[in-house]
Amino acid sequence: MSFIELMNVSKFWGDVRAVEKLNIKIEEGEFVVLLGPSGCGKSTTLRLIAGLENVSSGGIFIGGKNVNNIDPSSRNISMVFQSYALFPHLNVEENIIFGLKVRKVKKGDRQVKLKNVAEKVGLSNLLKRKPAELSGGQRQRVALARAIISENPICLMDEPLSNLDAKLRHQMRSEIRSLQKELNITLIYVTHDQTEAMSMADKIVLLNEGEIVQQGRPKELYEKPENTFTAKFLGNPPMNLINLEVEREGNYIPIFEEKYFIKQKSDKKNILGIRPEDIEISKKGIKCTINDLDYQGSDVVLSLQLGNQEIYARIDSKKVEELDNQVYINWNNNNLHLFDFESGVRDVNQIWDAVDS
Amino acid sequence: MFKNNLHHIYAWLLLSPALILMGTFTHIPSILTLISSFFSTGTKKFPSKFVGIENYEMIFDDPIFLEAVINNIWYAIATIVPSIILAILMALIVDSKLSGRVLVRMAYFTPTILPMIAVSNIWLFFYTPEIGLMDQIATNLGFNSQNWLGDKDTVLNCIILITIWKEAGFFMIFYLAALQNIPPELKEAAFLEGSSKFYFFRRITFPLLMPITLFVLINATLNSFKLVDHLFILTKGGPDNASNLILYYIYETAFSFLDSSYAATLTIFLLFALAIISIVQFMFFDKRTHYR
Ligand SMILES: Nc1ncnc2c1ncn2[C@@H]1O[C@H](COP(=O)(O)OP(=O)(O)OP(=O)(O)O)[C@@H](O)[C@H]1O
Ligand SMILES: [Mg+2]
Repeated sequence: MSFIELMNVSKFWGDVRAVEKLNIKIEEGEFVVLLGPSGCGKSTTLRLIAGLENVSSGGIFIGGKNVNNIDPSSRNISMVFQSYALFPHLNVEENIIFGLKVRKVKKGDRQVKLKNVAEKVGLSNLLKRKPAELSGGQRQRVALARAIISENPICLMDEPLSNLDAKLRHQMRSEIRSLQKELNITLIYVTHDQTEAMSMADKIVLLNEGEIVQQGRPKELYEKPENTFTAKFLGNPPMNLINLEVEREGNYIPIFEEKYFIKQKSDKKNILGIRPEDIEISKKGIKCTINDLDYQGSDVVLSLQLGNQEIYARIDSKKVEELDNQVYINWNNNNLHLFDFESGVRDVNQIWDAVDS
Repeated sequence: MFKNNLHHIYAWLLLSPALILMGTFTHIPSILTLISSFFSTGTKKFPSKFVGIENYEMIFDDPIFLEAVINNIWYAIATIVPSIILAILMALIVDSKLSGRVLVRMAYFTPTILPMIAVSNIWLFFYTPEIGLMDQIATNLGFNSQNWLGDKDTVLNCIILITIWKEAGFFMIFYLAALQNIPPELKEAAFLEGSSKFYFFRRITFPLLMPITLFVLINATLNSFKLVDHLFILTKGGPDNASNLILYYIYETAFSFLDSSYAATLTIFLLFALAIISIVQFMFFDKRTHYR
């Protein structure tokens, strides 16, 4: 059995379904990110693990033991809230050692731990300040310090970086990541930011409308999305999904009167997926017109008109100068993904020939 | 320049209704009171004349006033402390996830919205010997029948009980508003650390309620020296001045004994005493109060 396991966990509020039949396995020391759009049940899942909410059905196991009926405080979990939940009338020091005082840790031990943790998160000279006298990033560190001083093996974080500006967020990401490795904490981290999830996670659990869409290593989710939801959720811009038409000869991309056949042996309607960075601009291939250019520094994202559909291509910004309004696109067939039109599920038997041009 | 003048005229015109009302009913009477406290009360034979601080010296030789002051201090302490404790308790109860809490909130608040005169009449009935609610309870528990409002030993405490009953619900509203302003994550964060409910109240909730407590304390203190409505209905300060309070005594001095100068002197005295008490409370608690 894994260190933390959720078995068929569901949570309903009356008729409202927050999450349903979640099955998640988390190993010790793993960094797991719960990812998904707003309202998909990320916070609920986290709060169920913490014990702040009770499950409607299913079981949560920590260290092989069912904790359904165990108090939050006895689950050996610490938590960082999105709003930080600092006590406004207590100074930084008092905030950090709040839990130690509750557990009646001796003053000497408290001070040693405090010094240690404050150094780790870089708060040593702010200990006497009140939360209101701190910047957002510093408050974030206090919340972090309060979570790690308890030395609990498990830490939960609910969108801890969403109130910070982009630069600070980037810095905190790597700090949290290295703290987690250093202290060997099992970390469950909630975010709706796919970049954050991809860069931090050992494992991503992607949720939508209370159900798990896909879970696995970031690379797996990115390279082998099991369905169109995952394909659309990861990547910036996300994977292009092109609706195909079907005939006896197979699937094709309709471009006004013309048909570009995708030579794969399928007689049902499919969706073609291709990542923007896998599209090449070349001398021959499928003809498109450029609708728009989005300059992003080293890269440029082109939005291209492909028949009556719009797709994105990411190319080196040095190559933009040479482009006409009319371009031809091409791709390596190994980079194509095929999904069933009705269910959105990945077609596992993808067999490709070359693209017609 | 001309335009600027016009602005000033508009400003004064807009301010004038409030100024006139405040002046007529607050500031001018206050000043007149201060002035008349230095004069004797005029009669047909002896017209009013300047007497300096003679009126003020009289205060310290006035045994009834002294009794009213002592009564009032006891009344203040015995109403404020319990009503604050009750208010916090009630607020904590109605803030929790109790079913039917809207009803409970309304029930707690009802005494506050009733007019004091009506309330006094209800309580007058409760305190009636033999047939009143209090006596019914007392005799059922095996105690002797009591003349609650007619007995020097019980009368003031009976009045105190009414005030607590009325004020606690009022203060509860302030505490409730403050409690609902405390983010629920604070509680969750504390409980995750293993804090008990009581520990959380002591270390977090109560300190966060301090600004409200300060506000309530000052209000309650002022109220306890200002509230007289119920005395008119219930006791008229009796028996034998046992329930006489400062403001009621001032009222009697002015309108029953018709000694308006002495009444003015007592008023000024009360005003200063209240100002000093408020300032002391404010300075004492302000240091211990966290404002958001
Ligand atoms: N206390 C509650 N009572 C009723 N419904 C709730 C409650 N808490 C959450 N929900 C519902 O459960 C669903 C999941 O909510 P949850 O807070 O877990 O979403 P989330 O993924 O954290 O979203 P966000 O990214 O916006 O924080 C939502 O539809 C929400 O409306
Ligand atoms: Mg959430």
